Amino acid sequence: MLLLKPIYITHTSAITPQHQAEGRLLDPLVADTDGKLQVIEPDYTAVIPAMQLRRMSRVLRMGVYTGMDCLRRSGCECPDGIITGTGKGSMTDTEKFVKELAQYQEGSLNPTPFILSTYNAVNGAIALQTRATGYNQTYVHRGSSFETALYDAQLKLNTVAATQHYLVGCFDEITPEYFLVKSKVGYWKKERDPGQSLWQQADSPGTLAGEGAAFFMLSNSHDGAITGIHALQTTYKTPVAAIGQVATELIVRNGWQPGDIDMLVLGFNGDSRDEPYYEALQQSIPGTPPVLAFKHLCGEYETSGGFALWLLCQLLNGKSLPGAVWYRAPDKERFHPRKILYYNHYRGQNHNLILLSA
Amino acid sequence: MVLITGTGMITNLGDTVPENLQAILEERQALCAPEILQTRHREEMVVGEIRKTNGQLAAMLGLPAEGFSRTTLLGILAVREALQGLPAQQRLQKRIAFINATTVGGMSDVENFYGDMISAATEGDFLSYIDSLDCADCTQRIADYFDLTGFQCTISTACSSSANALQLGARMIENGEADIAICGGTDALTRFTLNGFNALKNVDKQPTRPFDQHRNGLNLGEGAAYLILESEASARERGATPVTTLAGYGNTNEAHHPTAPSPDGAGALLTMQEALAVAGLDKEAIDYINAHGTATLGNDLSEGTAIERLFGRRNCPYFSSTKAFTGHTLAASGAVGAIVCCLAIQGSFIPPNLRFETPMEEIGIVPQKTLRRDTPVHYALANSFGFGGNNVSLIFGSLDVRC
Repeated sequence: MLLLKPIYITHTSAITPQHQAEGRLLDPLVADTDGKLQVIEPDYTAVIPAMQLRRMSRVLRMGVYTGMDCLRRSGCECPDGIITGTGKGSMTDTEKFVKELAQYQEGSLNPTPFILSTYNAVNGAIALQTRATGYNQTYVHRGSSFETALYDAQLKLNTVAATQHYLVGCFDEITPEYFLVKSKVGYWKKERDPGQSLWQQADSPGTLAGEGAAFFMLSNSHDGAITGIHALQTTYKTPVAAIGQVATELIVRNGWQPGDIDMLVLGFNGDSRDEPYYEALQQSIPGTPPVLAFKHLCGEYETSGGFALWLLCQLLNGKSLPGAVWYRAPDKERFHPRKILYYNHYRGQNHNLILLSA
Repeated sequence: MVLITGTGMITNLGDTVPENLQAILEERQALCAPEILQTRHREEMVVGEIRKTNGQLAAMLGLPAEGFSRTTLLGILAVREALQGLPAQQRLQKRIAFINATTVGGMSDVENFYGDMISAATEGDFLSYIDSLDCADCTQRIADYFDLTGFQCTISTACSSSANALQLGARMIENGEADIAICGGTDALTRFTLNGFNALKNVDKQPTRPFDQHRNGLNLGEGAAYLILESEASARERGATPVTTLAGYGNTNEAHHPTAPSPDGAGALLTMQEALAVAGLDKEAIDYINAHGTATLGNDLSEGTAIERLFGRRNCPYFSSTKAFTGHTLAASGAVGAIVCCLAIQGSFIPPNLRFETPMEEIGIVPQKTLRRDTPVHYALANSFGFGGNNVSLIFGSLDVRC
């Protein structure tokens, strides 16, 4: 099996539940409200024309803003490809249209929520705004939606000789209805001690609900790279006992050794059903490398990996992060990881592994 | 070289590929008023409905009558047929990707339970459908049914979804990332989509008339269709009999309008040109086009104009929209069109464009109105165009012409 060529993240933009203002990154840390971590919304008019903004619902604004802001930061006016991942698309519009169907008994309906509920609406809007007629794709595979989008970018860029730039991102929102519906099947943690970190309360089921949008400029050229994505793997219903081996095989196949990994990014979410996978993964890596956690900052959602990669890019860009972001903090103040393993899974079903270099 | 080594489909025309073929060769009119879908439009609209209840579909699979969305049940039935030539024993030794597509996932069932889901109730039948809210539910349940443990994903780019599944599968095989890819899509009829398209004034209440001057919109259909894509080495090793090749693919975005295609056909033209370039073919090589042909005013003008611009009036290949048979099966339609292309290549025939009567004023080409037999099809092109400007074209080749 031939290895795919690495791809490189050059720029990023995100809308998150945490502060991002210059010099105040993640400061102070924002805690959840009633079990939800909801995003701090920016002034959308800075990037999206007012006419368009009026026709957009919440997650579309989040997605289009973040995508356009990422392009703006990179100076790229028209990406060669646009790939997104979303677990739910516009939940707000889906809920609205389902309810109006019942309410008006299929009478005269406004088609707007129907159009906006399509999962590829953000892709289409960004393509329209940038006149990007190239490759365009949307993955909706629950907890692997974002990572599959990254994988496809690597697959696409593997076959081109010229330097190309792909805009790849993800977006998901938490709505009151979605929170209610999923509470009926035990998604959220019922009793919690806000004085303790999320992963210290992993003796009971349930987690925090979250949301966010994150976009990345990806290139097959190393120029201006923050980090390189070397290998990606998404797996399905991998047992706890096998996850370490899957990670080891990916590392070895990529020509690295497990002992080379000097930093982990892990999706600890405080759910007793989900924690054993992260414990097992850690045991497959020799030593005790620093571990960056992120779901205590962004909550659990299908595309939380976007927040994780954005946070990692902040670290690798030399931004200082508060100590509370770390599950296991580095010993030294100046910490320069070289080979990073990201592992995140969604409800034990969708498992995602990424090997990154800095 | 990517080979097609298996196909499976279920539509209003039949539960299997041979049944669908038979219906096409009979030029069967199969759009009717809905009976299974509970809708207030049942007296006034026709759809392409599979006349089996969820309970009947589940019974065909030995599954319980409750708990599986209709989307999932249709998907399992079509994948089961596609896998007939790839038994479980052979699957164990291969790296198999499962690439599924859907536009609204389990909405077919969620829309019946949503009131309960958001009520104060904590117990009830709705609980088993809560995870069907998203698009991945059907993919995961199909994977569970066949014990597919390799790479899997779900694509949703509106009406081009399963065509996109096919191009991803082809690229994974070409890049050595998989030996085999099971690619396709599934969508059941829902009030959600029926009323969505109706609110957009895109639905013809009478049987649809693609590429006709007097066309008046689409009929919605339902179905699932999957193709087995395989590397030459893998097919040779297990002695699989290929059906056709997947010779090329194009994926582009119109960047024109959220729901409407460009009247000059620029987007569709670019997509077809890219597919030809990837296949390394001149346009003269195409013998048949399975058009997207939804019969909306916008699509058929844009697509017809693009076909005319690319191929010219005189040398235009035969083209037809088989949505006049099946209705628009949304995420499944790309794979349905792909299988129709494979059937045309294998059977040397041109599928008819039912109910075509009056040529469109804006273009100088007309679809093939009636079934045309004994017509060699070396290469067939299938178009799928979706909301958001997501366009895909696929080219399938006869095994006789592969180089």
